[in-house]
Parts: sequence; structure tokens; C-alpha cells
Amino acid sequence: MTVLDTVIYDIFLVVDKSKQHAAPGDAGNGLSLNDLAKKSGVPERTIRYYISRGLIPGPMRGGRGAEYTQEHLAGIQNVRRLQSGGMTLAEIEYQFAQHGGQRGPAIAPESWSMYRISNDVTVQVRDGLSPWRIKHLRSAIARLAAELAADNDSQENGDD
Amino acid sequence: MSSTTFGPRVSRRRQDMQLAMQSLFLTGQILPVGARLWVRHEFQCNEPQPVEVVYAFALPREATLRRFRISGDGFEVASDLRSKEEARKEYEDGIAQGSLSSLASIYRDGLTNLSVGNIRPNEKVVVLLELLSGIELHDDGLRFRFPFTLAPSYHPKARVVEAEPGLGEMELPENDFGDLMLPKFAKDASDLHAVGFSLELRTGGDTKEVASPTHTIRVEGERDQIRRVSLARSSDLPDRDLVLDVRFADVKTTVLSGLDSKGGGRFAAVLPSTEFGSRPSRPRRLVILLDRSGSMTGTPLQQAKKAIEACLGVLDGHDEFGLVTFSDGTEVFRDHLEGASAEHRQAARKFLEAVTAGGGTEMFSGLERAARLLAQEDTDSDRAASGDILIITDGQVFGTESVLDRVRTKGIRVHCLGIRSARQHRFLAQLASQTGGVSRFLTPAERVDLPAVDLFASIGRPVAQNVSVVVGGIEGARIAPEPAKHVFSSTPLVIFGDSPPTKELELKIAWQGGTPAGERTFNIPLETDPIAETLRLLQGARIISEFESRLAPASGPETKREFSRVEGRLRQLSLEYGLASSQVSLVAVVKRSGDVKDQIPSTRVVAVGMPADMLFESVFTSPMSAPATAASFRGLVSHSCKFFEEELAYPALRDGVFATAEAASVPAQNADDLLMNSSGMLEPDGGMPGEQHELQIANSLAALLFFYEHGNTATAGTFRMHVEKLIQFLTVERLKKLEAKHESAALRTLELIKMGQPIHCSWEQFVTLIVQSKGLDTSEFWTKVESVLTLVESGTIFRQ
Repeated sequence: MTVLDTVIYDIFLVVDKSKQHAAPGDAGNGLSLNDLAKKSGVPERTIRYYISRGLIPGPMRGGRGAEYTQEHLAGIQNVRRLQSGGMTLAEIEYQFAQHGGQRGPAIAPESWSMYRISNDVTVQVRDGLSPWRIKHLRSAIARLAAELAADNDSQENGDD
Repeated sequence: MSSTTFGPRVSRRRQDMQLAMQSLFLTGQILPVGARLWVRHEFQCNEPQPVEVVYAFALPREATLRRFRISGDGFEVASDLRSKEEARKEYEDGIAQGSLSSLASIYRDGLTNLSVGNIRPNEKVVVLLELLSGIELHDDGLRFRFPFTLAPSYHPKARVVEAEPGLGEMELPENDFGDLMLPKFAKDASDLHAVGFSLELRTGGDTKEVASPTHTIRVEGERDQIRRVSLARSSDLPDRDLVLDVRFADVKTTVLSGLDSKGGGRFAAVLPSTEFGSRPSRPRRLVILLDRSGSMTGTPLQQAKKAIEACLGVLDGHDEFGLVTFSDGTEVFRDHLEGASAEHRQAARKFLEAVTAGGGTEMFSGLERAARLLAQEDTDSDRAASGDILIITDGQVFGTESVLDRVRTKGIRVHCLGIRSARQHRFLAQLASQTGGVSRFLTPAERVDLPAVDLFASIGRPVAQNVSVVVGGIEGARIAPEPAKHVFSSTPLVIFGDSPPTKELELKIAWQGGTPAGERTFNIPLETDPIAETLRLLQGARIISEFESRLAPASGPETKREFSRVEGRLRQLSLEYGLASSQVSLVAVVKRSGDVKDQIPSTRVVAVGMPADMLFESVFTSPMSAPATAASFRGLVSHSCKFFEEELAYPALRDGVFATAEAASVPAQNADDLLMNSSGMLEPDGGMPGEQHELQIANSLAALLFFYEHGNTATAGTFRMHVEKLIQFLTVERLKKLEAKHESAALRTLELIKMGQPIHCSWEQFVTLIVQSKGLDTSEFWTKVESVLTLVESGTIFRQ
């Protein structure tokens, strides 16, 4: 059901923390923090914040000091993508930790609300969605409900 | 720092405090035209690796940063003003070099980040930040407000989450807020950094009273001297703003002036509204706009409703009113303005009864709807103004520049009664001043209804209109920023200006619309005086703050050009006054021996306490792993409930997480409640209700005596308009219909009230009966009036 697909978040990124302290020989053609900021469009201070939260690995140590790679760039882009999908940094951090096999910063149950839109169909919606997300869901669920109601009507008419 | 005991507190849990920021201490001077403040931030690294600490705070009203000094073991360095791009580069270069670097950047809504990077393990660093701030001025005093915390506010695209148990995080969209980091919000502030303050009051005259509705304070010094106000205890929690109220001994005009270090003339003048004559009596067109968003839940909404009833009570038959509420959308009482007849007021009461709190704070929608009501064709050509809007709100919104930008073009006058934090104070003060209105702000612990009635009494009928202020004496002298065009009762006119070097200036103020229209001229002497530098900075902060409010996000090419123009002007102003703005930041880099290049300090965002009046759960309701947004505000959750309920009709789904908090009941009636309730009962003819003529007059006189007993006259007090209307109702013609002895008693009582003669007696029992609709015992009432008159007229109980 497409409606449900739109509701469920299944995007995650695994951060391999073992690469946070790569061997010196691995570096050489890396990016500086300033380069990384320019390429990603994310300010240096924010990148340091991501590193502090474990959202992207720390720099590699090369001959010229700290260096960053395409992996860092991809990591930042992933974080941004997840943020634009409505997740907070804390949630991303938690998901990364879970899928990376590490203990997350907090464990709490997800809260979903179930809506019965027909006798035989329910839709589950995660609580605490944004207003624009709710608007989007509103029209999608209303369409589905109308479609199901029409199906029921035609079945009832057919039975007659 | 005068407090020797101030410093990091011991955790309530008796654990070692591992705080990146250990304390915040406010010092400075409060003047009659603003405040010059110094905030001392003490940072410490308790970790094995260097840290970068980010402290986020909101600027108060008409405020900006001037400079900071960063100091530590063996160093002290002053900040430089740089364009925001250059400052960021300097900061980042410093961080990359391993140097201690600090950056203060201002974002939208006056939100500010103070970043200090590369604090070494076990190192202590102090940042002393200077800022200039405005104050809320009344004719007879001032209210000073400083934010020690930051209230999470509504933004349709905000993301919020409870990141750890009891610790909330909020993120704002980068398109509008750049790389701003908001603080973490702690449910329990007891383990956070300590806050304290010690401020000088230099009001230039006697102070009658100094008080704080938020903190226990100690006041030192004689009332006619400079007084020091400090926190009575050794330190406090960062979970509420500091509010100080100062009452002046006299209502008078204040002029401050001097020559600054470059020889330039600087001056500021405060003219109380009483300088402009009395309030002209003419019909009013008013729309009351009520914020019913989720954050207004409980007592604020209940009291606001009561205030509106009382406000409607002082409208007369010639006045027209409208009533609009807003949250996610808007609701109107009627789609046109109504005359304030008994029938319409009763209908308005019913409309109000049904209003509940819930949803977001789409303030502009409400303002637009209110403006549409006022914009409808006005058939009375005698009216002086198209009308006024009184908004009662907690103003818990981010992205306020967009609201201001849109309201400014509407040509409406907005008066604001704000509740809650200093950040909203900044926005609502701008909303009022930029539309020609006035504003008042309350702390959550204060009543909403009484100030609403007080504010309502002064709006709609400015005591002066088309105020023009001209400064002469030398070419090049100017007034800036532009002062208010209208003056309202209780709120003074504030004027700032400057001039080339000279000995004296002439300030000429002319106005219309008051009673009488008139003008006043002041000579302003200019001599070398340190106050001139402070006046220059306060003037700059006011101008910059006003320009900041014009930085609404641009969409089309024309607005983008305007945006760039404002940005350019802000850069110029910052350099002219030596003050920071959103375009110019403060930066300092300290090179120390042993700096390690390319180390990455761990970033630590300083937590603040959830404002004491806000439930942590009302914002951070979602569990950790569920993506949450501004919708998590209880109101918005309620909004989603409404949507599903309306669209899909599944009422059973309302329960559980979609449940809306029950509104708290209003406490039992005290004298203030009685005043409020009785004020809301006034009929359009100005009298109290009453089935027979004699009863109506007795009820009206009892109410009048009760208002008078509580310090209200026809010209002073919150209920001055009610007193004025009751006196107007109790005409000689009406009183003639009473029995002769009662007529005589009523006339003598009115005479005493008009003369301001004290009448020492409690009328509460009678007004209680009226309010409870139990019926006044007129015989008992008149007996009491007679006996009191006898005592007063014989001089037995005259006040000494």
C-alpha cells in the first residue's frame, strides 16, 4: 500500500567507526575541512558537530594533518537527506548507532496511531509528524478512504 | 562581579558538574532610555580532549552586541568586528591552527550563537560580552527584561525531539536560520550552569519602588541615588527570564545629553504621555485578536477571555468592535465589525466561551483577518483613524521577520499584550512600534486580564497624533530612529538624536489630535559627558534592531534586491556604531604556545532550562526514535486530531497521544477577579445591569465605589475607562428618579469621587452579589452609603 510506504521511514546509514582513525598511509589526496565544507555546502562548525555526534567519521590523519575523503562527503550528504526527510540529528544518531550494531544514546518505543478507514483496512501513522506532512497524508488517506468506500458501495450494489 | 559566593553550583544529584559553561553573570547599568550590559560567561573543559562550546541565547528588545573580551590563564584579548564571512573565516582558521577562537554571530529573530573553540583540557576561559538593550517604558516607570533561557517556539518547519530523557532538541530550517544551533532544553534545570546578576539603576531621579516578579532581589542604595539590584541568593537556575520593575517617584520629562569622545552631540528624551493633554473622546473601531494556540492552554486563555469581556464592557454605542482568534487558522466572531450593544456583547461572550486552546501560532493569518475587518468601508467620515488591533498572545513563534514584513504593508495599528519570554518581547515590541501601536509584556506568573484592560483603555484614542520632532541649533542635527507618530496614554514618547559638535540644541515637538493640540520646545545642553557614548550605542542598537526586523526571507527579484539593500545598510550601520548585527560578527583568536594544528575539538552545545512556565512534555512529546517536528507542540498534535476527526470522522482516535490538555480552572475570586468580572458587566449606556431603574443606579454606584476603592479614578488606574463611563451614566437626570434621600446620597458620593476624596469602606460584599447575580439589597446598600458619607463628611475617617 503506497500510503503506508510514505509513512514508514526505512532509510538509514551505517557508520563504520573503525575508519575514524585510519592508517597514515591511507591519506594523501584528501580534503581539508574547508574543502569539505565548500563541497558539501555545510559550514565547518556544523561538520565538527556531526563528528562530535558520531554522524560522520572523524578526519584521517595524513602528512598535512587532518584530511577528509569522499566518504565524509557522502556521509554529510546522507545526514542532510535524512534531515530534509524530517529527522533530527538525535534520531539519525540513534538510527546509525542501531544499524551499526552499537548502543544508541537512548531507547524509547516508537509511538504510532492506528486509524481504521474501512471495515477491513487500518492505516498506521507515526505520531508527531509535521504540519505539511500531515497535510500530505490527509489527502492521501482521504483518497484511499474514498476509494475503499466506493469499492464497498459497488460490492453492495453488486450483491443486490 | 560583586558576588563573592557566585560560581558553579553543586549538583542536586551530588555528582561532579561536567558543564562546558559553568556560569553566567549579568552586570551593567539600567538607564531611563535603555540598558548597557555585560554578561560574563565562564567556560571550562572537563574532558580529555579540547572542546568547542556553543551557547545560544536570544537578544532582548532593541538590542545588539558591542564587543567581548576573552581571557584565561595569562591572556586577555578583545574581539574585532568583521563582516560575518570574514569573522567566520578568521574563527575557522583559528580553530584549524589549534588556537583558542571565539565568535559571536547573530541570526534571525535576534537568536545568537557564542562559540568558543579549542578550550584545552582543564582550561578555564571567561568571555565578557557587552550588549546594549532597550527597556519597556511607562510614564511612571520601566520594566527591564533579560533572557536567562530561551523558549522553544512554533515554526512550521521546526524539528523537535526528546534526544535523551529530559533533554529536548530543536532544529530550525537552514534556509532561514543558516547554521544556527539552538540550545538543548533541559526539563530539570537544577544541574545546569548558575546564573546571577548585579545591576545598577541610574534612572536620574527618585525611585519609588524596585521589584521583580521573577527573582528574589536585594536592592541597595537610597531611593534618590544610584541603586544596585542583585540576586538575593548566591545563584539561580537558567529556567526563566529576569524581569525588574522600577517605579519612578515622579512622572516627568527626562532628557539625557552630552558630547561623545569625538565631540559629537548625543541626546535622548522621554516625554510622558501626560505632556500631550487628555484623551479625546471619539468613537473607536477595534478588533481584539486572541491567540488560542496550544501554548496558551490553561490560565492564560481563561484570563485573556475575561479580559476581553471587560474590554468590551468599556465600549459604548458609537464604538464598533470585532473579535478574531487564531491558531493554525482563524475564526471570527462576525465577518464585520459590530456595534457594542448588549446583544452583540452577549453574542461575543458566547463566541468566547467556545474558544479552546490548541494548534500552532499562525499569527499573520490572524492579523490579516483582523485587518480585513477594519478595512471594510468606514461610513463615518469624522473618524480620525481606521482602527486598532489589540493582540493578546504569548508570541511563541520563530521567523518573526516574515510576520513583520507582511504586517508593515497592511497599514494597521497593532497593540500587543505579550506573555512569556524576552525573545518574544523583542518581536512584539517591534510589531507594535512599527505599526504605530504600544506594547506591554507580562511574565507567566502575572495576571493577563488586568494589564489587558489597562492597555485597552489607552488604545484607540491616542492623546497625540502626527507627532513631529525637529531638532535645530546646528545643521546636520537629526532624530534617529524615527520616533512614534502617535502617543497613547501611559506610554511615553522616546526620542533619540545626534548632532555635529555644538554647545546646545533645540528640540521642538509638535502634535495634533490631543486636547489641546500643541507643541513643546526643549533646549538641550551639550557638554562632554560619558553618558554620550552610552546614548550613541543605545541609539545604534535601536536603529540596527529595527533594520534587522526588515530582513524577511526574499522570494521574488524585487524582494531580493530589498533584502540585499537592508543587508548592506546593516553592514554600514554596524561599522558606523561599532556594533554587531546579523551581517557583522564579533571574533577573537588567541594564539597560545602549544597550539596543535588540525585537531578537531568536540562540540558541546550548552543546555538551558525549559522555561519554568512551559511543560517540557508540551513540546518534546515524541519518543526518541519517532521523527518529531513542531507538530509535537501539544497544540499541533491537537491540530492533527482535528484534521482526522473532521476529515475521516473517527472520534475514538482522539484519545491517547492526541488528547489535548484540559484548561486549568481560574482560581477562586479575589478582589482583582471581582474587578474584572464587574467591569465586564457594563452596559452600552455605561451603567451596570439592573431590572428596575433604582436597582441599576444602585448597582452602578456600588461598582463605581468598588473601582474607586481599588485606586481607579476617571484618569488613573486600570479601570479608568470604567470609572469614566459609570460617572457619565450617573447623571443628575437619572438620579432624580431616585427617592430624594438616595438622590442626595448618590450626588454627594459622586462629588467626593470627582474630588478624589478618600472613602474608606469596603464595597466588596455588594459587588460580589451583583457579579453572582444574586441581587443587591438596595436598602442595605443605601444605608451603608449614608453611614459612610456621614463619617467622611464629618472628617472622621479622612486619610491622613
